[in-house]
Amino acid sequence: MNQDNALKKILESREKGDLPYDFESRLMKKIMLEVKKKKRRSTVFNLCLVSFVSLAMMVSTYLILKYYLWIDLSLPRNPFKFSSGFAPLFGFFFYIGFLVLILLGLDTFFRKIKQKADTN
Amino acid sequence: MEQQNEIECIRRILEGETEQFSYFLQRYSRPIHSMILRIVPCREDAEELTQDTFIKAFKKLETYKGDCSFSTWLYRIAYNTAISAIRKKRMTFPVLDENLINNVPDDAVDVLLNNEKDEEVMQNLERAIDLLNTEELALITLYYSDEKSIIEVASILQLTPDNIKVKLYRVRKKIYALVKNEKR
Repeated sequence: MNQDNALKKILESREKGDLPYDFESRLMKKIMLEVKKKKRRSTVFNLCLVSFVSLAMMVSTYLILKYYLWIDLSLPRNPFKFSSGFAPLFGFFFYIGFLVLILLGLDTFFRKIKQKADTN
Repeated sequence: MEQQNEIECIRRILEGETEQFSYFLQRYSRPIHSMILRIVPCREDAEELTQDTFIKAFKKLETYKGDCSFSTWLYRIAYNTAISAIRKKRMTFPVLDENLINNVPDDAVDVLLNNEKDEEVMQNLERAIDLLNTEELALITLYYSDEKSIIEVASILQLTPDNIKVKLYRVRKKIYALVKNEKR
């Protein structure tokens, strides 16, 4: 059966277009992107999983403490009592917090710029 | 030996050395493209389907168990990708009467398919091949043009070797019937 020379000849002469010279490099880039996507997906999945498990543990702990061990978990009516002596410190705390946020933002911004420069 | 090297390469890719995949691209992109191009005549579509084949192969790499050669596994993905693309386009193929195919004498088929010196016969054969459906075209392409064995073709098309033998036998007769049908 394998001797059907006429059939072989026709099949071999049919369309024989070649791939573009950069086909392999383009495809390799796509595959690398695919790897990045896969990593991102697994990070998001892991984060969701950790959040879900933590939440479930917190809820179950609360339920065990409340309904199994009969511990009263209700908060006092006014847990935070501020005296007027603390008032001048609030401004300072807000200033420090604001400063930390600005520094963290700048850190992220410069990291991104460096990452872009490294990949290029 | 070759299969061992390829399995080792796959193991390294799965461990994170993604750049090793370029070995498979260099080795198989052209034969796979050539096979797809014979089934899907549009060049742009064939290139895109070749790309899809390799991306699918990369995504499913961990499912390759090594029970067949990597090339057979890759050809199977390529064939399935091409078939589903053609199904989406809803192409229609002529249907021949079963009796017409069954009544074709074996000797006449042998003579026709080996008559490579007659220009008219060659032209008629070419037209008949264009009328074959995708599965038949893939079958004769893999067997005659890519010179795959019956077992390899069976593994690619996910059929039994006996089934492939029967199909090849019928396709040869169908080609003969199409050539004779066109002459009338």
